[in-house]
Amino acid sequence: MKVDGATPTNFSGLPLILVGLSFALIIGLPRLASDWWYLSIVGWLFLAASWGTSVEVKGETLRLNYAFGKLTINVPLSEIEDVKVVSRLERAVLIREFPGLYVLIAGAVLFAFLDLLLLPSGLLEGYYFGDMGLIFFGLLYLVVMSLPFSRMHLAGMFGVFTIIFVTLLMRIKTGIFDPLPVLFFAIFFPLFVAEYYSKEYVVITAQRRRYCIMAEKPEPVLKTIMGGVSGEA
Amino acid sequence: MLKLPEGMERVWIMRAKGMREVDIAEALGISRQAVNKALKDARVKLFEAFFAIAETFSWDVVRVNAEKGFAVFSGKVLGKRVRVYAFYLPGKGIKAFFGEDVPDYILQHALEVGIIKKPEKEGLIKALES
Repeated sequence: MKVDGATPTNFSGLPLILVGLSFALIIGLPRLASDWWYLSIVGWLFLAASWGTSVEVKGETLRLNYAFGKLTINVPLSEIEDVKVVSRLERAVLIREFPGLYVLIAGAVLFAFLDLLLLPSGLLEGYYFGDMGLIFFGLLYLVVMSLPFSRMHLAGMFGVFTIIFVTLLMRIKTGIFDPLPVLFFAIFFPLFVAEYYSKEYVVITAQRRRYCIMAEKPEPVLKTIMGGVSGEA
Repeated sequence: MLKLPEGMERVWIMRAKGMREVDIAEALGISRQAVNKALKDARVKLFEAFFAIAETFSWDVVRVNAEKGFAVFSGKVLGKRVRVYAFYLPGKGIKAFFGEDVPDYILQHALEVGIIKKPEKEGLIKALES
């Protein structure tokens, strides 16, 4: 039985490894070996493959499908120990559930920051824009994932600080103040936050492993899992 | 009211207290497979019971933990949105409490099964809501 409107996230396990590989190919490799730029295409493919496509219950197994439906992670329903709707808990944060994701994003932000420092000053803005974007969205992602869902206003405040921070970085590197990148970040920041908070996040713990399912509403996910546990699916 | 069968409950509570499956098998003089099967069945029964409570009272499920035997619900009672915390107590079945109105024997139980390390209400609510 397929769960409508639910997709597994790439926060843990093999999908997270795919994200890590894609980061290495898209961000790292072109800087270390510029002749191998075409490998970044493979990186984008890995990134796309890490996205979950569907969630279904088949027999007594929860199936999380990735990689355009070619990769399936099977979770036996009888092994599920804990089911939590993180977005409804008062103190739960996603980062605590998935520390590997935190390390990966923090590493990517740090890499972008170091890359930005090593780039000579006074180049055209386009040279810095990739790193700036990565620092901005990376920091924003780390913040929203480190805050309980009831603290959306804090995420908003931090987003404004992040815009000021990247604007200052841009000013230092280019020597001029250009309102265009600021406008870009100011438009994408509320869109990013609104998209993140519009979803519900169901975290399942089974056999000491954690899986996250993203859904518009968690009830269909919970009902399908419950149906499978009771042998109704 | 759900109560786990005696043998199953004994295995479940030993696991909830942190014992390894192999140690439970040794202590009870049964096979590790039997322990594993009892734990699987206990988890399924607890999930069913907690979800049934949510459905009966039209509460939203926030969290169900079959390993330690507790659940967090959100629901409307007399027009007010409240938090409901439910626990499976060995020999007694499921007991539910509104808001932070948690009695001392629940704190003691939470301490025994390792949900909290100190018998403090704030600590218990924090653990359930994390």
